[in-house]
Amino acid sequence: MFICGPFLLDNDPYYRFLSLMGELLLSTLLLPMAGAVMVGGDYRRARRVALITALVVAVMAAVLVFSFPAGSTAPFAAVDVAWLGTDAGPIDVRLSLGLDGLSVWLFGLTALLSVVAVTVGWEAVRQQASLYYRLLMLLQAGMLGVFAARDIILFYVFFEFTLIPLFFLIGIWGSEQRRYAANKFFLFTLAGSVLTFLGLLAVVLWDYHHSGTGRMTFSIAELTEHLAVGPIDPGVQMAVFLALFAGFAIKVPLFPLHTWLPLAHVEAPAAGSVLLAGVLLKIGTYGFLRFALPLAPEAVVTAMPWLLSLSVAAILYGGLVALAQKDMKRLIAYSSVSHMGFCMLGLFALNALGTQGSLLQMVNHGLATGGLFALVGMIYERYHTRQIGDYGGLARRMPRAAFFMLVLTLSSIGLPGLGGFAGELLILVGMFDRAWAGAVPAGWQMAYRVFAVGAVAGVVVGAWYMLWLVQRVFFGPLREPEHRSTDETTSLPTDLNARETATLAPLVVLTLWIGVWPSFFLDRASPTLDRLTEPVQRVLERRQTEASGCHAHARVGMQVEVANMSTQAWTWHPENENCRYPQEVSTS
Amino acid sequence: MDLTTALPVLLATAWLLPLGSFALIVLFGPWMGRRGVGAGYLATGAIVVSFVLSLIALLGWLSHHPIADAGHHAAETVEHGHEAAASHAAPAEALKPVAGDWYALGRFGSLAITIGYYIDSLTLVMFTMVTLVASCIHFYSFGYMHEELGIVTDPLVRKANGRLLKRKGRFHRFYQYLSLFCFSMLGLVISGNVAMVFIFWELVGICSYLLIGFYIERKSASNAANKAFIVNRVGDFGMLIGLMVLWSTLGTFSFGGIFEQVRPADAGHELIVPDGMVHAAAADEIEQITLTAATPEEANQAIETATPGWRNAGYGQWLLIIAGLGIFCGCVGKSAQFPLHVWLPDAMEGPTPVSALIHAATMVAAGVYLVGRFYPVFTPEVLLVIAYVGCITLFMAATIAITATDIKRVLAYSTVSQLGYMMLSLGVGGWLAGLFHLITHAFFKSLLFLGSGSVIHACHTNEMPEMGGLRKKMPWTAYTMLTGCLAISGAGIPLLWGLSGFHSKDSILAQLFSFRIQNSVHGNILFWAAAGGAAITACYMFRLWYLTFAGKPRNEHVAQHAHESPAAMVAPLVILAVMAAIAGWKVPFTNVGVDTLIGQSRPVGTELGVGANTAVAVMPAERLSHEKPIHNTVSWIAFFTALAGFLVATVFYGVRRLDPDDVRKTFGPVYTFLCRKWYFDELYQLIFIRPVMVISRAVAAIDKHGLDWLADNSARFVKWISRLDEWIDRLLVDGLVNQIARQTHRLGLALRAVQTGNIRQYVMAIAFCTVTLFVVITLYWSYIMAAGS
Repeated sequence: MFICGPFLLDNDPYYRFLSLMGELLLSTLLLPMAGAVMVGGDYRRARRVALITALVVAVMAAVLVFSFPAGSTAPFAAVDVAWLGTDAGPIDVRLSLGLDGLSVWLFGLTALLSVVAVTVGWEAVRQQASLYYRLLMLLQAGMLGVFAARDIILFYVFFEFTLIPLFFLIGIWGSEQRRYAANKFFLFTLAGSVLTFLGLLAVVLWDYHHSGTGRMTFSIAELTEHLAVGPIDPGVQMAVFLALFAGFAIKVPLFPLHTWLPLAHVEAPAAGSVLLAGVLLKIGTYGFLRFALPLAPEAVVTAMPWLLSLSVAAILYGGLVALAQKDMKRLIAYSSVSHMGFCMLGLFALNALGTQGSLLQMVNHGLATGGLFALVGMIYERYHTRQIGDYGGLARRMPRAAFFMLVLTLSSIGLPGLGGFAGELLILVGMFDRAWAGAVPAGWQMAYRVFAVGAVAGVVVGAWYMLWLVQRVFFGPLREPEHRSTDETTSLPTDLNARETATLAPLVVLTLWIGVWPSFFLDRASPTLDRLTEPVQRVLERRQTEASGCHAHARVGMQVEVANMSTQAWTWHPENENCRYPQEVSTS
Repeated sequence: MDLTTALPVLLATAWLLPLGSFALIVLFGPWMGRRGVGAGYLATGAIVVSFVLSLIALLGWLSHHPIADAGHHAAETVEHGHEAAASHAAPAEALKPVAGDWYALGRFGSLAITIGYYIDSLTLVMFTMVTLVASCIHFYSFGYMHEELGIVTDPLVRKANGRLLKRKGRFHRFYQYLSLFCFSMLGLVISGNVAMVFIFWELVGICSYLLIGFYIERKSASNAANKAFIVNRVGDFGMLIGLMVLWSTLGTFSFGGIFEQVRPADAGHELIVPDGMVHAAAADEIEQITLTAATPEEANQAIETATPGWRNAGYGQWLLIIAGLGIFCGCVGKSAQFPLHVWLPDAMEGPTPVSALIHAATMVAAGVYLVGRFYPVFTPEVLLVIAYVGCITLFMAATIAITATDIKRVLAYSTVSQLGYMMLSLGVGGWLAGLFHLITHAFFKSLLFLGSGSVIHACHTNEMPEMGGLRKKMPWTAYTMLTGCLAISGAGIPLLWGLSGFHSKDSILAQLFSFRIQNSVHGNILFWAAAGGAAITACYMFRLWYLTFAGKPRNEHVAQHAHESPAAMVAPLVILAVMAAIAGWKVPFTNVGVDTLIGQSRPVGTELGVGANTAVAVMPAERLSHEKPIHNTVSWIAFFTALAGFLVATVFYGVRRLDPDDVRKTFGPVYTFLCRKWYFDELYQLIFIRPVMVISRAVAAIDKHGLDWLADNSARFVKWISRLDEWIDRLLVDGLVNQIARQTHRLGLALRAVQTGNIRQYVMAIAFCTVTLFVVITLYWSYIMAAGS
């Protein structure tokens, strides 16, 4: 009904399937909103409604994720109707939703972590519970919308929409410094996102004046297409990129814009931390991939060395600061800075390997760090302290918690077979490929190699602080903080109960899945990622050609021959890595 | 079935059986049999079947690739093989490894990360060794870990109230980890590419972590586990860099692919800098060529003709060295070589069967195995580094072993030292000798560890000064361990007959002697350090045996309670003792032995030695070391050094003619230096750990007080500006615009409200500004555009 399948007939079964999927997608957004309206009564009722909503949304999202076709770049489950203005113009803001190979994973992750967010505060939240769950569901709708939106205005509405519920969640249900943390989080993010909005509007306006359609389109896909043909002036591009950077880099958060994050994490209730780390940070990297790379490729390529420096700085800086933390949540928060640094590094290596690794790392970071925050929340519920020094040998009291802690930690430090490995390895391979074989701006050759080596050093530090955390809290002789017996929530059993186990188990299963079958994700994601990075690749290739005369790629042609000779397992996709293996050499 | 199809199937089954056992135990472990005893049966069954399958595979390989010329020596076989390769290609062709892929983890553009196999006789021998030792240890653990079936009282952990800790046994957990380890180790051995090696490299590391920290309640155990993992990560740092350099210059991870580029057939399998590395290093020149060339084809042509010249000028040489050193760096971590050896002695916190399996026979040898596997890639420079690292390690660890009193620590340092021998051997061109020693060492060292476990099981202490005179109480343990001591010391009759260590250690020393002939300076240092190390080896091993089993009981209490271990523990000891004795022998009337078998897999191109045309060092061909003059001399040197070590130990500890305490007093500082393990732990604490912690605290402080301060103050600055604004406003309102209408007055009031610090108003302000900016831009934009067009 909503779908505009341009070449499909009404009675085609595939068309009907897609149309059904579109309706499903729309319902995943509407359902939490409806839930937010309907929720009420005491905490028992409210949490039940919230859980059912989250579960239904998760199942629907799972259907969408699993029916997502491999090897396609077309928007899946598209919904597209006029919203403000008309198709004829001059203004055409559309209610346009859909998933592609990039957003579908983050969409699914959001749906899953929303369930975790509901169950993690199941017992802890008693005061103003209906408001709490109402906000949680609004937040869920906002996050799902961000990833499903295909229109800039719609994206921005959802983007801001995620801000307000989380602001209140931190400000009302947080710990001691919640007001300060909430204000800081809000101001930081809002300041960035306003600039981002200006950047996006600049793109729209540029397109309006240059596309010649006489229609002000806000459709992301359409803008991408137009700008691929007639890119924005380099100078304006840089301004656009900086505006986008302001919002997304704060969201990621990229060093040195990260200072809001540890505070927000520490003060937020467990559900807030889970969603913040698991989903909201990904909006930053998602934004870079979705907007910055295709819309301002020249600027991205120009800024690449600086972005890479900041990413490596984030990796090492986050790791080192994490090493010195005494508070569990702060430690994991800084580990997020480090891990998101890896995501940014992969992304701005600007090759297929790096972006794919980055996507895997995003999803896995959501699972692992989201899970770790949930777990810390569960421990906090029992002992009411987050100080690492207060604990010791908890594995004896909480063997199940120890199991989950260990698996999630191993996943986040990149143990093969778990998700972190696949992402990190691809990111490193991508970065090394860029440093040794790729187009490197003059004067940066050595620096790029140092970045690559620095990122590897980040892996070492990562193992150090995470394993040390596990050791101090879970191993060694038992040391428990005093129970706060006045609190009614201490009726919890010592070890994780069935609810908590069921909360964490899916995360472990999924991280295992990413670890042993990453191609499931990448087969579906890579066409979209290639398409998003295509403009950047073209710019890189052009710059290299300009830098070294007209036949710069002769050398890489040689490499292809050498490599082809050498291995039977060689698969070569020239279209994936235009820069390194240009088309004309391949055909010769 | 055809061998090339049968081998992968057999080995894959052998490899995956432990994984199946692991998965089942994870899911159903606690409910298997009474208190999880079934988990032990399952894991043991799986590994025994794996052993049988490996053995079948090995026999299948032998039947297809018989070892020629019964009665001839290994070296001659190799030589023959080489000649055969030169004259008629068929036999050499037949010895090509069976390689292929099973499953692609992912194909990422040009990168394929696959689960594949690379099977040659080395793989098969390793498989058989690992599964055999692992089977023995699975059986042994039934006895050793028996306590874990019930309620365990941990003698080393006191609770807050001063009582000893009592906890539920974790029998199934132990076998679960063992199965995971076996799977990972076999995966490492069968790997068909470097990426897969790295995957399983990490997995064995994590198994080691889990098993070292098996007694999680002990602080020392979890410390040791962390140390092991993190120190290994430091090694992996180098390894990852090596891998990445290989991939980004050669474009492949597979062994076959890398070897073909490094030692191409048309260069006679000589080690050359591969084209990819030359081109990566000659990027500037290539740019010049492409600038001047008319077409890409022409440019390619020009580059191709210029490549040999670049290669001769040394382009890309350093990339090859970095790749080699990087890979070796990982091996340094895993095989506990200097300077990353510090984790292995601490790893003795794990249960003794684990020390035997992981930290003596298999995992720690994986580094040596990888050096052996990657042998074609190492340049003479890298090999020399390997040799020196091995040499330093073997000497240092041996000296520490003399003063250690903890029975397991003596063995741990002995392991470090023996691994040093293997590395040294590989470094000076003794590929076969090093890997041969790997196999023989696996048997006698796991035997020694299991023996020490049996002693610990009986005495409930690790301290040798508490033991003594145990040979009457536990004869089986005593004499099997004596076999192990003899084997590791290389006992035998020179030129005639000996235990397994005799054969492998002799071939290492012979290779070193042969190396010494060609490189006088390096050769003298390395050879005499190794020979001295051999003497010390015999000394500390017999010291261990005398202190434990000979003489009179030093602690009556311990001696009274000591008893021979149950059959489940003694039987593996006997099997391993037999293996420790015979692993170096040939099958009677044939030339089939471990060494000749491994010799079949010698990397093509390394038969004639490495580095003949460089100034760095010459690694002579291994067959030279079997020539009579070298072989005879070395046999006698080895015999007398070992004998000297044995006699010293006997004088001090056996017949007690001299008192070790006197020596201790005379050489006080030296003794302390050795007792403190050369102060490595203290040194690392001082130069690595403390600085990093100081830096991390400083950075954390900067983060808290610097960056955060900046953010907060910029917010305050905005607030201050708004206050200023308000003041100006008031001035305007009060002083100048008072006359103007109420509108302005109201505006002033509204603006005053802004500075309340109320978030809602800030939001409003920001939103308002956005809209204003939007409108302004929209308006002016069209003007600009109009002007532009």
